[in-house]
Amino acid sequence: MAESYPDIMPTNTGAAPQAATAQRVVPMMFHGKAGAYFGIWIVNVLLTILTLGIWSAWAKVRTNRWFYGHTVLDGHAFEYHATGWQILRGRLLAVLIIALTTVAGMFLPLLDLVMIVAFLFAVPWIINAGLRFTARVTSWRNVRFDFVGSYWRAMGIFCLMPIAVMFTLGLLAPVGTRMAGRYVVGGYRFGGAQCSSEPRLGKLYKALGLSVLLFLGVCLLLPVVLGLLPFVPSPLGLLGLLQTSHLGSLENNQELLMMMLFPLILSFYAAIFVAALFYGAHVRNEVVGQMRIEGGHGMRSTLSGLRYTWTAMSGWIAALFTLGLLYPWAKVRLYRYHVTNTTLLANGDLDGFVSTHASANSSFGSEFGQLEGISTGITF
Amino acid sequence: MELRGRLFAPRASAHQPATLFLAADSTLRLRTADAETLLPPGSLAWSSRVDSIPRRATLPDGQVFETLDNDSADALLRTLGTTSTTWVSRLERMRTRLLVLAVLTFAISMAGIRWGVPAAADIAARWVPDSVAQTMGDGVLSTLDRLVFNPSKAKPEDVAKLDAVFQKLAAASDMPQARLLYRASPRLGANAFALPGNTVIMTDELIDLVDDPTVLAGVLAHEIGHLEYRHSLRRVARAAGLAAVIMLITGEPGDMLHDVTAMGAGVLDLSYSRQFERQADARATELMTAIGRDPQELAIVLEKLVGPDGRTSAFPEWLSSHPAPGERIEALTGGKRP
Repeated sequence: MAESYPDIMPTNTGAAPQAATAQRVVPMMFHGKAGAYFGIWIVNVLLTILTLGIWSAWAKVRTNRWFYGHTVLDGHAFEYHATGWQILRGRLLAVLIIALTTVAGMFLPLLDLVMIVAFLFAVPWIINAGLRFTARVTSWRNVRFDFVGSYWRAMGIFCLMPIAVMFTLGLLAPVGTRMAGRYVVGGYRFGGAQCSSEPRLGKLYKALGLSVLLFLGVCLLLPVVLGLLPFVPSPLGLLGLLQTSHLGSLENNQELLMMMLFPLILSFYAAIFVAALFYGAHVRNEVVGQMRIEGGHGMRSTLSGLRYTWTAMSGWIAALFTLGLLYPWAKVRLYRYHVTNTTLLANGDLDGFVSTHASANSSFGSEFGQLEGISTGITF
Repeated sequence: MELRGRLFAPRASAHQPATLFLAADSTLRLRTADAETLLPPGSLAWSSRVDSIPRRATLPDGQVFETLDNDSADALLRTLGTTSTTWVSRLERMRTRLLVLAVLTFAISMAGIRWGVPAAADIAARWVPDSVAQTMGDGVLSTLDRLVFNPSKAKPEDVAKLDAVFQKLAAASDMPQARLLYRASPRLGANAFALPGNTVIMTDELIDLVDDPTVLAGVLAHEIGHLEYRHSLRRVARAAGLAAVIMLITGEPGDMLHDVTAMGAGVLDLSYSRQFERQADARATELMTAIGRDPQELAIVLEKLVGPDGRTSAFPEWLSSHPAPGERIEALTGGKRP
């Protein structure tokens, strides 16, 4: 068995670190094999079903440990320290709260309104708690990350800004993205070292422009492709019906309309999906590329928008057609693409970091956020 | 037995090469460039094995020993007699057997979803008391009244005829407490509905479609069938059960696989609905025969709605909540034209 990672010199003695002042380009590598992950994934699924969901907490831990553990930077792997019990406690608490509030809302409709408002005010806390938990249970080279957030900034960026973006039909999206990127990266610490990122608005708007073009392209081309498939209803089928005099059917008129619009609706959703992936890739490039870590370190991200979108979509379609059996392969493939397009620009010695905290508090915020689908939209 | 790896200072990135080994006297020792330490039994906290990721052992003073040699670590732990949850790891490595198991699991899951979820949901729906079902139905009706229904403008003599035949059908059925309400539904068109509880809605538009309203007896029998079987309630329960199972299997919520599978669940829900419609058609035939009317009347109404040449809807069956009209007419008439 290998004794050390093949990409560094095996003798890392206590001698003076080499080239202490030069800037080194340190690529991130991924050593995981899809076949190995398949084993982990299928056991997770089986045990989760057998334990009626309880194992899902440990499944999450094993999955993350596998992905982090095979992600290597400068000869050191990342590590995920959360335990199954931590995740389970957070999940149970989150499920309990969701169940209680749902039931209460059914019997006391007024309480529903109160709870919606309370939920809105809880979102910034949920986001911050989620980021903090995930950061604190992640380490590299034996040093833990941390996240320090601000409730009111999170409120502005994740609750109010999306409304503004909606009102401007997405034109303010890059501004929102920039704010979110600055906040999320800026809150991160690595062993006490501050992180920051100043994404450039110009680049983000360019990304938005390209995404819109991609969106329009898919909207125009996909209905044509769909119309050629035999089992999809289309306006061509409607023409056949128009030849008979009577348009009646036991279904209501709305269904006829839906039949006409079906390929258009499908294309619309597919186009949004594809454009969002594309935009996300460019955002990631800019946010990560402008990252600075205290000590003069930087990062670089070289995702190709189209290649990323293709990798993601083809993976999911493959998983769909194999009833999920190719999902592990698709997930590893996409993750590998992320990792191999990430580089650390290290400014000399990386040995001087020390963790500033010992434990990660409760996983409740993180798990509640995941269950409710709350996320920051910024991924590394 | 030797494990080569790195030793980290507590919570710091500074590290040096180190070797963990079993000495000749069966004690566990850690050797670095400048020292050799004796580790008392049970003093190391080991991480569990996951594939071939680095294995860590934390010392009592906070130092961390990290090695890539998982196999030797497993052997060492076996010798020391400590278990470190490697059974999961061994399970994950049985690739071929797992693939077979996976295929079996998916087959069972698919069967479970196709038949298990409906069965469980139906049992759950059976436990819902009539009063609760009635409350749900009343709630749905008030929403429909606010959003899509207008007060009925049906002629009193039509109403009287329909009420009379409805009473006969209800009396012959398992739902004698069923009641018939009338609404105008310009938005939804000619149709009839069964709500959770005991309510059947007849629309003015459907009455206008036929010359003699008593021909609609078949439609009323069909809706009473829905009430008897509690189809509305069971469909909601099935949808909820399906959603829960999907979340269980696909694991992380919010994952893309989850959303895609949910769409598949939507198609499956429609197939449940088609199954219910066929049941209601069959029951309608029974009820009509029971009160001495011609069961083919429902087929006649269906034909009226489809068109003189019986052309089936261009809407593909798998996207529709009702079986194709042609299929329903065939089933009702037994293939013979009335």
